[in-house]
Amino acid sequence: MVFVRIYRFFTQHKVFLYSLLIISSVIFAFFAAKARFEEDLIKLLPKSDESECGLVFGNIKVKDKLFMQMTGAEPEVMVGYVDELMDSILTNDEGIANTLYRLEPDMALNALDYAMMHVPSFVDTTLYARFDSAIAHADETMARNYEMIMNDETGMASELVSTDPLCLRECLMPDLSGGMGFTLIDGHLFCADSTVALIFISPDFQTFDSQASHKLVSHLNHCIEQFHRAHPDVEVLMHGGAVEAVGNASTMKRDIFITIGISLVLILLYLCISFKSYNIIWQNVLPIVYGTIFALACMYWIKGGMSLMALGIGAVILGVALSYCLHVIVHQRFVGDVEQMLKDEAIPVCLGCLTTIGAFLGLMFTQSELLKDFSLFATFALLGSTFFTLVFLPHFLNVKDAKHSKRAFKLIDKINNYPYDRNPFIIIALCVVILIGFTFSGKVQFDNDLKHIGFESEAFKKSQKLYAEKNDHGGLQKYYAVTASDLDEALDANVVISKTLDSLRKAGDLFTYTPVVSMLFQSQAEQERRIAAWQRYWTPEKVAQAMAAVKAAAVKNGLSPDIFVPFQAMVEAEYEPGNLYESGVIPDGLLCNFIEETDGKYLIFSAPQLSKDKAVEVSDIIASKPHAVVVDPLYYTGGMISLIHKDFNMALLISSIFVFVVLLFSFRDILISLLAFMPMFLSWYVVQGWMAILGLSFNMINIVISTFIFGIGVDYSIFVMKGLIEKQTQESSKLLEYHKVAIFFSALVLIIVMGAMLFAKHPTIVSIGECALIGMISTILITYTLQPLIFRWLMKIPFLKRRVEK
Amino acid sequence: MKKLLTIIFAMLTFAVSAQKVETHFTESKFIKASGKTLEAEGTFKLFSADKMEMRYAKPAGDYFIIDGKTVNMNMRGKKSMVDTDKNAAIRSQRNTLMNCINGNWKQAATDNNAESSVVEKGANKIVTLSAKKAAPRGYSKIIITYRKSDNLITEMVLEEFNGTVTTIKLSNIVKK
Repeated sequence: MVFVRIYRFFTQHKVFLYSLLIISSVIFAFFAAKARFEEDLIKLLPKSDESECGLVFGNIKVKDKLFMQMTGAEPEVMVGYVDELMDSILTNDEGIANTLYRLEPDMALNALDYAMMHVPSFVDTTLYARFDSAIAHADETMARNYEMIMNDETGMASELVSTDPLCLRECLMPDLSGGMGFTLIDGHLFCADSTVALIFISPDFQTFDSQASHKLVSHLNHCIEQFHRAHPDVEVLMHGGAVEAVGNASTMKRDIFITIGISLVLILLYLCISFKSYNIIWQNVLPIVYGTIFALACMYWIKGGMSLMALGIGAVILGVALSYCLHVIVHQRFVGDVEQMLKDEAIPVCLGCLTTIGAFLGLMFTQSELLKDFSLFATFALLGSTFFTLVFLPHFLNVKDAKHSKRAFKLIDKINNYPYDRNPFIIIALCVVILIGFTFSGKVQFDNDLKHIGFESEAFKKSQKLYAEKNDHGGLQKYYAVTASDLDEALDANVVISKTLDSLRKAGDLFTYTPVVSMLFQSQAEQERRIAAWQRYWTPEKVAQAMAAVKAAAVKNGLSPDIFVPFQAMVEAEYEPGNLYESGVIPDGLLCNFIEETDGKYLIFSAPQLSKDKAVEVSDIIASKPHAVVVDPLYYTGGMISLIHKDFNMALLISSIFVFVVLLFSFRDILISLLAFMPMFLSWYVVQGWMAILGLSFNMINIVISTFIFGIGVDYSIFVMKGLIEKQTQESSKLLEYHKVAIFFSALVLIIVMGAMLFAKHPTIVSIGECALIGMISTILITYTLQPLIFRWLMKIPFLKRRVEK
Repeated sequence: MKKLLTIIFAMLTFAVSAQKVETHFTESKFIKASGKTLEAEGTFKLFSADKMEMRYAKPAGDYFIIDGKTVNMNMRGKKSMVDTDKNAAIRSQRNTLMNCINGNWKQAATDNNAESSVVEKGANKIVTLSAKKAAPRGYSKIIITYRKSDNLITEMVLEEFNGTVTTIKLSNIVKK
């Protein structure tokens, strides 16, 4: 026996043992600490044909925008409050790319200046018919001009009238003014009914940069708390990608600490009482810690880090490692001889470890980084823990320590020794449960929506709801983008999207849509076309006609006909195409809503509001257009998650075959191997069927837990099978009883931990708990009942009995 | 010789432009469109060749400040701070004003595509800049009166293409 020889070697070389343990632990811990954790679920999805979009997603800043809302006071008061809050926030602008909460007065001046220099660029050729109408209605317009001029106290209105006496600006503006949906009060952004002040903050990092997100959100929360103390009359709400990510991560950490942490402490205390020794705590914990740091170090060496979500799920897998420790510790307490313990336990523990790793390694055949990370982490964690359990741990076990609480063990014996396999009611009930599981297994749903596995706090939901109520008019704001490496190419592509969305709006498929970008930004070529059209329109005859109409209307309305020189100069002027994007006229906080330059690519956004029912239909139409992207990772993830689901079924098949082959090699009998394989096989269908019956669904996360059910199922099965075979060959063998005690403790630990997860806040942790609990209970029942029953039946076959006893 | 004259001229221009002045001003804006005249007054300060301020006592609180490339304005409570690099119209206005105040009217004429003429009248020199071509923005005519003794500006008339005429008169000039 290899492990017995290793034990003897280290017994004679204790210094070497301790040195190896300490040095390896330090090395693993050092590299484990350097591992990076990826929180971007999108990055964990399979790479598909649509990954070009995925590449853009990570860097699109518009989706990472934070929305801050202030409500509860008069708008004029909130104007000052917003400035005060933003001043405090911007004292430390680390992590903030830009903000938008007020439009500086110079913006209007600069915009007017730019517009005056590039008037023709903003005139769509279809608008010239309106110009004709404006000339025809010069009289009516001049009457309004007269009122403006007479009420002018600064000369600015007169200037405007002398430059645009026909109000041609109104031909350009009506579409824009209706669609922005915001109200400006003293230059500050408010929702349309002025009850909520709006602040938009664009981070200068990606939402899933957890460190930066945490830092920024903490700073914002701190500023909001301080502000609240000074102004308890108003409420400040916040939502957005980074806020969600930080809330998600902190809730997950707190939930894991509370549910798993506290239940583990209680369980370890129970073990201490049962075994009348506190050593049991570190004897169980150390192998798991060693396995974890070994796995994290391996992940660092292989990939530089891993998915945080995979680590979270992987923590559950450590329950399997705990099972091996318990087997070794419990067996040692019964036999009181380390070498004997190793002789009895090394093979089943190694076999269990190998088959469980096999179950996990099947996931390496999937295309999902999440599943691959989980698979690798679980594999290394089990290898490390098992190695510690069989190599280091035996040296820390007290050879003569066989103490245990008689009362506790009496109860355990009573539970373990109950002849479940001879009770017809239990057998029939279990068969019914399995049969129902089989029947309904096909009906379990797979939830493709990633939103359902994230946590959103009440405050977050309130903020989202308020924003939707005030700004989305009961609809949903969707962001679409066109992307190209050249701004002009992107602008031309945007024209197609703009026209498509406009026709959808006219067809009633959209609530609102304002083609802001296509009205403000044009490619050089388009601007040249428009300038040519302007010159074609404003012929000397047309200018003379317009000026005659204007002057006549002016005289008629009591105004001097000589004040319109600027108008004539404007229509007769020479124009050149401009570059509004680079002009600096539009502040960054506003510009990033229209155009974004990322990694040498330009993205141009359109943001219609539509009903939720139409979202997919409209997104499908837009996504089919050249260069177009739906700026919603979840739009693309549905298909990718389905791919994970399909992948996963394939992985399960591969794992099953691997486990069965290992069992076949180990037991060298197809019937015994099938019997050992049975709990894992049946429990998978029980889990699926009963989840369907209970209205639970699988998601990208909890489906991974099925590998854990496989792992633990096959472990229990192997230990029970070894015990049953031993009992068959030696009537007096106590191996089955010892294994059952270890299984009892292992199952107790896991059921309590999984049960505690049901009380978590995070939906993912709850779903893991539900799925694993059903799996665990079914696995144990099958292992304790059907496996011995069928084994007993099989032993009635003389040929098989002879082979087993041999 | 030509080089020497150029250097002397540049030095003189610098000397003039570097003058620091504080003075009272009156401003009269005739709006042709409405026939109204808006009267204003306040304190004019010239700090350097690219920094000046006009603080209005009437209407109280208004100001017009040029500080390098930035123009700060407050007109009836509407405050704005304009970066002249981003705004051609205000850049042109700023440059015209500063050039005229600093005596660089030739540059102002070039910038405004204007013809210039100079007439000496008593102790003053009157420079007239007339736009060669009508434009949507800017001034059709600028008349600047300089005090011959020290080349300091005493009056400026800015006529826009729409007929609006702004007359600024400086009095009680104190050199700092």
